[in-house]
Amino acid sequence: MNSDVLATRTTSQLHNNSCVFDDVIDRRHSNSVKWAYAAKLLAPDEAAADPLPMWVADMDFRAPQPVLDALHEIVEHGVFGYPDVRESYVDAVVGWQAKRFGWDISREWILQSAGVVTALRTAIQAFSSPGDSVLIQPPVYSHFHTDVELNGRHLAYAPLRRDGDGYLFDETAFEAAIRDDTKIFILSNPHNPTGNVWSEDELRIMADICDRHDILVISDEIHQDLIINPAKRHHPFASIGESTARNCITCTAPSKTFNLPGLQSANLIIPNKRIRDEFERQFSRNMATTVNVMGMAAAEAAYAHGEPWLDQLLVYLRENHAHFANAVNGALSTVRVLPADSLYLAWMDCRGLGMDADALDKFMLTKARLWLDKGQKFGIEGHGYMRVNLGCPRSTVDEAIRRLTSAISLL
Amino acid sequence: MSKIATDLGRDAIIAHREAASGQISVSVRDLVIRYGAQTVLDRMSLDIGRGEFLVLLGPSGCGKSTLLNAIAGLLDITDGEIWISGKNVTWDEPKDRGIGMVFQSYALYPRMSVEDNMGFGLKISGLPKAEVKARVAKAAQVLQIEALLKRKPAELSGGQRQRVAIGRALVRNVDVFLFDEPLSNLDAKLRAELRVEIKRLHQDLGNTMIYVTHDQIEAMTLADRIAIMKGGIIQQLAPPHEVYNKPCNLFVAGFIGSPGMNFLKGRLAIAGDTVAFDIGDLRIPLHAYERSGGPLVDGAEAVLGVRPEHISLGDAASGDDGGRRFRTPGRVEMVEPTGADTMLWSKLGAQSVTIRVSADVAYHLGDTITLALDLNRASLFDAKSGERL
Repeated sequence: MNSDVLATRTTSQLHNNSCVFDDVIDRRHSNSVKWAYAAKLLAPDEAAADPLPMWVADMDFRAPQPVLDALHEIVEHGVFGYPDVRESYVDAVVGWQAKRFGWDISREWILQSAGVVTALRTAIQAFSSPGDSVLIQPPVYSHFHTDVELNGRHLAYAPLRRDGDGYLFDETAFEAAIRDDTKIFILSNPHNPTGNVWSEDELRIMADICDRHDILVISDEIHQDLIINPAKRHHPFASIGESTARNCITCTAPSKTFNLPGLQSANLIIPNKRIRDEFERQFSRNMATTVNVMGMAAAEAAYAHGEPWLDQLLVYLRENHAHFANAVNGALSTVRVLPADSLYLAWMDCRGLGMDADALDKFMLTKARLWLDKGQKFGIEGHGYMRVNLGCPRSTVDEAIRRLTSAISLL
Repeated sequence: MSKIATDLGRDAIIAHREAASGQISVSVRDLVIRYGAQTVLDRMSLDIGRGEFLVLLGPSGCGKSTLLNAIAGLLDITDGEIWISGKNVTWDEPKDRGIGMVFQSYALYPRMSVEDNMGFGLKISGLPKAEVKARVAKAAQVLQIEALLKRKPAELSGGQRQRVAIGRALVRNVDVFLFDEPLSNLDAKLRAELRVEIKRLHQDLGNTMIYVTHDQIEAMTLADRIAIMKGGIIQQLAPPHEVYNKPCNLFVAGFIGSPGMNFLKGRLAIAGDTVAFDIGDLRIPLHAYERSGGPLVDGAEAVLGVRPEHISLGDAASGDDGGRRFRTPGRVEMVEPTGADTMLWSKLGAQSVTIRVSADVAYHLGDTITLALDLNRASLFDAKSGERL
């Protein structure tokens, strides 16, 4: 991505319009895990430094107005009885995949879940046995590690290869990591935290290898809408081909896209009936599968009417990323913000500071006074890195740049 | 200092400080740090003398690191001022404050040699190459790491790395060094070794040093003065011997010293000029006690603090020492040898006390002993306020 060109364009766009994303909303007094629980989640010295929260992936923006209107409508109605799945809800989900990604999905493929993590856990239980292994591509989202181990399965690692300023899918390493007992591959599509947007070719290679080894693919596409490089396009894994669709559980949600994670609403798209039925059975063994009526209404409104908001958001996020990367990389030779094609999360290489992973985290919390996601959460490959949440007003990004460069200037 | 601030009012304090400014290196004036509704530091004032070694000591969350971060410029203050070397630096960037900081983590650049690590900051700031080299050479000489200059951090021991980290601060030619728990990551042996190094460095260089730690041994051995903090407030600011021997309140008394000071609960008994301390049936005459705090009130609940080494074991009938020692029988309930000393546990009245005795004499469970409390070295506190009496 040519960030300079983008920066110029987006800055002028933003300056011509007053932008809702510039509004700073006080979240310290809301029930926000990101903002209001430092005393509970951090060590006393870390909390005492009052670090700026830029960690867990939720944004500091209000949801789109159509979402707020839909929720108001339910609250005004005042009766919160059991819901079912409305036709209009399914229309919205089907419509979204079609218009954003050209993926035609059948209505019956859709299952609902309170979240992608819930779906991951269920799929692991349904399609592997304790002692089996699950393939992942670190550095990758922490739940891919923890939920596999929580269920008594092992991890098979096919790390992405760091190459220059980016990460590459390594076909050989991918296949070599597969063992006889590997039953599932959890794909991060696009990839959290590196921001890789996988090409059709890359996805096809992964699909072929998994087919050959009879490995089910769970494609976590929760960040599918957050492609910030206009030259890149998101491909739903299951849309690559018919055989791919037959061997895949796609996880989507409006939660990252429209900033609704607290409303606990996700969709699973499972074209293969046998897999879908078994998934549903495992769901039923564990829990009542009804989702929250508020979450469902918010999701429908977002998918049906939230597109203009999202298009504005993407411009803002692109500029946030370019601004943060340019400022940090320009001021510091020991820290490098890697370019990203997707996500509102920046992946920052801090290995040049020479601190071990824990010391780096402590330094960020107590000296730079930034609460970031420590790289070690994403696997051993993440040691020395930090993930920075840029889903926030530009002024917050500026404050982060100031704190980071000030603290490092004293080293 | 904070006491002066309260008594004199702002103008008078400023005048007082200006008069003394030649001797003052770092001045924290009416510092307020507030995060939302939470006040972390509330109108703190503190002057640190030129060349002084000040240790900020206290438990986690006491505000010591917040104070250091504020002096370094790593956080925005809500109110007040920070002066360094006669200049108001309240709104200056950290790099412009004339400070060098040594962090808990070594934070050496892994791909650079020791020499390049030490000179990196200077190079970035645009200092001529020859000057960078000269400063690095001088710092290396002071730290006795000249032989390591060409090595990479991975080839150094933990102690050597921390020396290089100190070197990085040293080359900045600044007046004030800030140390943020620099030894916390090291093992006990190395910690002791580097403690001596830092003390030697201070003696050689004579710079102002502000040193944050939660380790009381580091505080006692290094400091010219210790500021003991709790809840964002400096509880006592005094030289180590004074903090140890005349703690200003129960918190300081309990925080400093290991094993901790014995606290005996009782009541004051005052009749005319005679003051005594009643523990149950036991009456301890306190005419040898040097009062330094508030008034003594008959019948008031109080705490008598006696350090384990200020209780000796002696003969019940040993000679008169002018009432300096109070003798009472006890019985050994536990023996804890530590090598150099032995700790004994006994009852004094109904309350347990620890006694530090020489390891040369063997004691056994059940031995009958005579405890002799050195009342000249004891501390008396108000039970309610915890303040020294």
